[in-house]
Parts: sequence; C-alpha cells; structure tokens
Amino acid sequence: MTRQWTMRSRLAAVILLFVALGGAVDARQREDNADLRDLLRERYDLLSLQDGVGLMPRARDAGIRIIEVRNGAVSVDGQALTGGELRARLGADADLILRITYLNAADQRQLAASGQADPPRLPALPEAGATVPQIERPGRSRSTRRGGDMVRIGDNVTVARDEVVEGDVVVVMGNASIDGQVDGELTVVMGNANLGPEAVVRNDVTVVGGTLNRAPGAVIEGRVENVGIGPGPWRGAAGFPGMLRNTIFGRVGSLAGTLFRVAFVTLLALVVVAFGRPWIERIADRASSDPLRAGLAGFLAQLLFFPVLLMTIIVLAVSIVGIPLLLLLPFAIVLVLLGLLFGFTGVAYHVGRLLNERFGWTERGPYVAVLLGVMAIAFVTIVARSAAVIGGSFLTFPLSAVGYMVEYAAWTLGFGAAILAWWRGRRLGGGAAVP
Amino acid sequence: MTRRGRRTALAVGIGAAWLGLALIAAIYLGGLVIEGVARGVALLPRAVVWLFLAAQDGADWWSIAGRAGAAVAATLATSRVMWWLIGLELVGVAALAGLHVMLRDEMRRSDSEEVKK
Repeated sequence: MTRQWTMRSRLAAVILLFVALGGAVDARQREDNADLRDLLRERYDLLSLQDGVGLMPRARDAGIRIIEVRNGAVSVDGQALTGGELRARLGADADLILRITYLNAADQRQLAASGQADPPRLPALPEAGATVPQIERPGRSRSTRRGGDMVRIGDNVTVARDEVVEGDVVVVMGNASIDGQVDGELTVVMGNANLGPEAVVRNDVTVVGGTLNRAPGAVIEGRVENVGIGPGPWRGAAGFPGMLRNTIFGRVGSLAGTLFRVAFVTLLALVVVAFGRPWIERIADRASSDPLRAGLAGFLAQLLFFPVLLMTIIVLAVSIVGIPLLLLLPFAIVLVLLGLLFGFTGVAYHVGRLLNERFGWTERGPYVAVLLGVMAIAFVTIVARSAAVIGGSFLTFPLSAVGYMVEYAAWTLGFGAAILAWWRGRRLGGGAAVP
Repeated sequence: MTRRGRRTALAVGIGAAWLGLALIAAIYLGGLVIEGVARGVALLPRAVVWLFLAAQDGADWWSIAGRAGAAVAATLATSRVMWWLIGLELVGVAALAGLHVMLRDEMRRSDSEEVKK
C-alpha cells in the first residue's frame, strides 16, 4: 500500500465523515424547521410571499395584520422593525420570527408551503406602509357575490358565510352581522358590528355608538375605529331601532316627536309673524294668487340647492385656498332655511285666513291665523301618528305618506312664493320690501 | 276642451311630474345623501383625531388644508362619484334654467302691471 493510497483513503474517509455530518446536520435542521413551523402555526397563518414569508396572527386582538419576513428583514404591517423593536412589539414571539430570518430562501418557502395545502402567493409590497394585498384564505369559498355598496338605514344587515360584498357595508341605526366577506369598509353607526369566525373585512371597520364583537378567526385587514357611547339601557341586543320599533313606546314616542316638531315650527312661525308680518302677507298673497307657479318655483329652487351647495364645497375644498371660505357656508344654509320658514309661515297664514273666513272667525288676528294654518297643514300627520298609537302600524303608512306630502307641498309652495315675492319686491322697491 | 279644463289638466300634469321627480329624488338622491351623511359621521371621529395629531405635531394650517383638499379630490377621482356628480349638476343646470325662465317671466309681469297702473 503506497503512501499515496493511504492519503487517498484518509481523504475519502474525511469526505465520508463530512457527508455523514452534513446529513446529520441537515436532518437536525429539518427537525428544527418542522418544530419552528409547528410553533408558528399555533399562533400564525403562514403565507408564501415572492421573496419571503408572511405571517397573519390567528389571535385577532393582536392588533397586527401581517408580519413579513423578506430578505432577512422583518416588517410589521409594512413597517420595517429592528430586532429590539420587534421584541418590544411581539414579546416572546419575536424570537420565533427572528429564527425565520436565519433560514435560507428555500427553507422559508418550504416553511410556508408546509403551512397550507395550496399556499397563496402574494405580490411583493412596493414600499413600507403600503396597503396589504388581498389574501384569499384557504378553505373559505364564497359562492354569492354582491356588487356595489350595501347601505341600510334603520335596518339590520347580514352577510352570510358564502357571500362576498364587493363594495362597502354601511349600516345606520341597525346591526351588521358579517359571516362572509366584505371587500370594502364596514361602517356601523348607532348599532353593533358582529363578526363571525369566518368573517373577512378587507378594509377598515368603523363602529360609532355601538360595540364591535369579533369571533376568534374573524379577519379585519384594515384599521378598527370603535367610538362607543356606553352601553345605555336603551340599546338592547336587537339595537336601538329594533327595540323601539313596533312597540307602544316607540309609537307614543313618534307621536310625541311629531307634536314637538309641530310645536317648534309653530313657535318659529309666530316669531316670523311678529317680526315680518308685511312680508308674510305678501308671500301669502303670492301663494294664493298663483299656487302652481309658486310651487314650481319652490321645487326648482329645491332641485338647485344641493348641486349648488355640493359644487361650492368641492370647488372651495379642491382649490385649498378657498377652504377658509367654507366657514361661510353655514350662513348661506341658514339663509335658505330662513327663506323656507318665511315661505311656510306665509302659506300657514293663508290657510289660517281661509279657515277663519270659512268658520266666520273674522276677529282673529294674524297669530291665530298662523297657528290654525300650521295645525291644519300638520293635521293629517298628527292623525296618522295618533292612529298608529291606537291601531298599530297598519294605518300609519298611508296616512303618514299623505301627511308628509301635504307638509312638503306647503313648504315647497311657500318657498317658491317667497322667492317670487322677493324677486318682485326687489324689482319694484329695490330691496325695500325685504323686512 | 274649455280653458278651465286645460288649466286643470295642466295642474294635474305638473303635479304628477312634481311628485314623480320628488319620488325619484327622494329614492336616488336621498339614498346618496344618506350614504354620504353616514360616511361623514363615520369619518368625523377619524378626521378629528387626525386633525388633533397633526396640530400636535406642529403641522401648519395650509398643509392640513392641503391634505383635506387632496382627500376630497381623491374621493372625486372615482368614476362612480364623478358620474353621480355630473348627473346632479345636470339636474341643477336644468333647475337653474327653469327658475331663470320663471323669474324672467315674473319680471315681465311686474313690468306690465306697472304700465297698467
């Protein structure tokens, strides 16, 4: 056996030893990876990213949407963190996350791929702080899709487990029960948001004046804003409107509200008569001489109001330099409201005059005429509310519809008559007719 | 048809159109307005918090106004909002034209009454 042969044998033995050691190290590494994967899966859903691993906390009260490990760097919700910051944020879990950064790209992919049967792949985030991309969670198939937004006022909304709402869900004075998926924002005002275990909300959740109930497993990918006003005794399990609707208390409350509104309008009308009686008489004459024309003018002015208001707000806001002028808008709105009030008072005065003539009450003054007029205009609505208290909601709808139509017609007619009277007064008297 | 009949038919027609338009406005525009108000109510707490934090960080008035203006512009940049806005403005233009015709007619009437006097 030559010396050369001996050297070759030793080299081969060393290679074999290294191969064996390498195999042992590799086996140990695989075991470690498996342990790491198991530990991570207890707390996180693992997702394969293009150049790393994504972890979504299973405990949704963690306040974290996604932890990303890319190229050895760790970011939480798009914000890159140092090791110390990560420990401060995640506590004991930080060590698990840092162990992922020690793995090479192939092992990281393997880690994520083992975490789910059919791992979804996410596109790379362009920069820190960017919006988290949409993630389809495994095992959640939704068959029913609803395009557009869902808006409910005074009613509850339910999104079933197999449903996807592609827009926003907005509920005012009602509860939202989400078991499916909402691609937009979920906004609940004066009601509760109940998220089931399979609920997914892709965007922000805002609850104002209610509570947010999240089942374990419910996913909110945006921010959570919960502005509560305390658990008042009036807000039961069914929510504020559900509690009061169709109960005797609710119907009596509606009647009281209507009476209060009518009393308030009467008071304002009497004040208007006290300070602007000549103007009210002119409006009343205008409304009685050509009601059709006055009504049409009032309707057109109403149609014009919102576009003008909206365009003014937009132009002032977008121009930025005009934003301070937005402070003047409430004054313009008050001016329009005053026009409406003057007009309505004029119509009420005219109706009161007609009633006085009809019943021969010739000695009644303008205040009584206005009082009678307001009561006559609101009569059907008050009757509808009273009927609802006595006979339930059956009679309410048709009577209320007629009542509100009469009131609307009076306000519109009065508004138009006020505009025409102002226009004529301005034309004849150069504005002297304005009280 | 007598003059009175024509006037009645005109009144009924205008009343029906009025109610129809009011219903359409109440259903479509009312829904939009309510949605806007609901979103406004939901956004208000966030806006207040943001404004408070911005003021605390020493942001000047014009940068706050700039952000608000940019937010409004971004909201309008979606095609859905833009179409609604265009539709609403068309309604406004039609209403303005109608009101202009009525007020011009009112002016003529007052002039002729002055001449008669």
